[in-house]
Amino acid sequence: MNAHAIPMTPDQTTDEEIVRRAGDGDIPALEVLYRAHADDVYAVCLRMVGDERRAEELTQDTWVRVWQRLGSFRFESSFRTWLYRVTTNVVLQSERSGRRLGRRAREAIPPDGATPRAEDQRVVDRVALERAIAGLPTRARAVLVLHDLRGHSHAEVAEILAIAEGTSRAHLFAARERLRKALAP
Amino acid sequence: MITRHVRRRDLYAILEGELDGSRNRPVEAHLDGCDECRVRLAEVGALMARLGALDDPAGPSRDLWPEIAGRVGSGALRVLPPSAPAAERRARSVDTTRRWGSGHRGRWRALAAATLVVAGGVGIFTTSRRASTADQGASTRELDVTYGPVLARLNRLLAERSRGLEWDLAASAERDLETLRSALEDVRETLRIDGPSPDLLVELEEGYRREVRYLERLISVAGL
Repeated sequence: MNAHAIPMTPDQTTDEEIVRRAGDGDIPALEVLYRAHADDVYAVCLRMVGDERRAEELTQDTWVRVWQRLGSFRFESSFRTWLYRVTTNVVLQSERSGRRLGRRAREAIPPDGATPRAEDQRVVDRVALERAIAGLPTRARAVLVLHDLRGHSHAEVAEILAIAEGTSRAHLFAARERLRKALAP
Repeated sequence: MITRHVRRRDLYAILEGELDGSRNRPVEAHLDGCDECRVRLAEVGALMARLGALDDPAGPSRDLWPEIAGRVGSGALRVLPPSAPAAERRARSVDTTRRWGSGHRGRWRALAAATLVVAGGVGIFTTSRRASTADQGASTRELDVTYGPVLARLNRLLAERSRGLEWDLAASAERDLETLRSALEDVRETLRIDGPSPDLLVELEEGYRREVRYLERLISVAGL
């Protein structure tokens, strides 16, 4: 297998060609797509489940799902949008099937009676935020992750999650308000 | 200057620069004279700053490709493109037809029928064309009572006719239904947790209607 035979450029035509080849069953082409987008997929998984090991499992599941379904991709959206849709569906379905772990997100912080050192405070704040995000309703969490943490517009979020833009806005507002209340001193 | 306090939704919009000039100016003027709203703006700003400061996670701790390659190379079932050789498509059809039946009708006939149904707007049930009840203040429960029996009937009909679907169309339909139901369930979950919201109730009803419309088309195709 020689993945490097296929040029990896952001050029639209080349990207489309790689997607077509992967859709036709070309595993090296799939690897090119994986190398280009694996970190993005992992970031969404990690932000959704709050656990590195689980995020790695879900990243693998996502790429297997991409392999299974790329043949039916019809280029009606960008590959990237479709990939995010597959990723969020894999995460949401895994949560429904009761495999949600969120270990780090559920860790007790800080230990009772402990006064964190100043340099630890940032870590404590970050983990508290991650824990609060992990406690959001699934769809609201997906909207928050895609919009606030991954920088997608409401139009893109709506396309990825197959919802209306107004629903995306409603979920985002609800998610932010729940976070604000959860993190209030 | 507006006299009522600024809605939190608008405070987020200010921070994101989403309020246009005509809406922004009176809100800014109110903020200049209202300590309470400035405190609320600071709270919202603090949350946005914390979210913005959340580092983008580094990639996975190891290269996941070898394991992925192992899984896809070991014959993970794929939805094949139309150009795939017929023999390969037949070989792959064994696992995917478990729930929907194997079906022997032409794929192109089914797809053409689907196109006709979509283009013609044919519907077996009239529910999908009714006016929105969510707009009229219906509750989650009322929507469940309205759409639950219709969906149950459509699903029964689909189960009876599913043998008429070519396997790849059936597999694709299963995924679509999974997505529709997943979206619907998430709206319901948010409603359960956050309470009634007009936007979400309308979305819930729209979700029900999307599923009804989809099932109607699918049943029409399967029945040909």
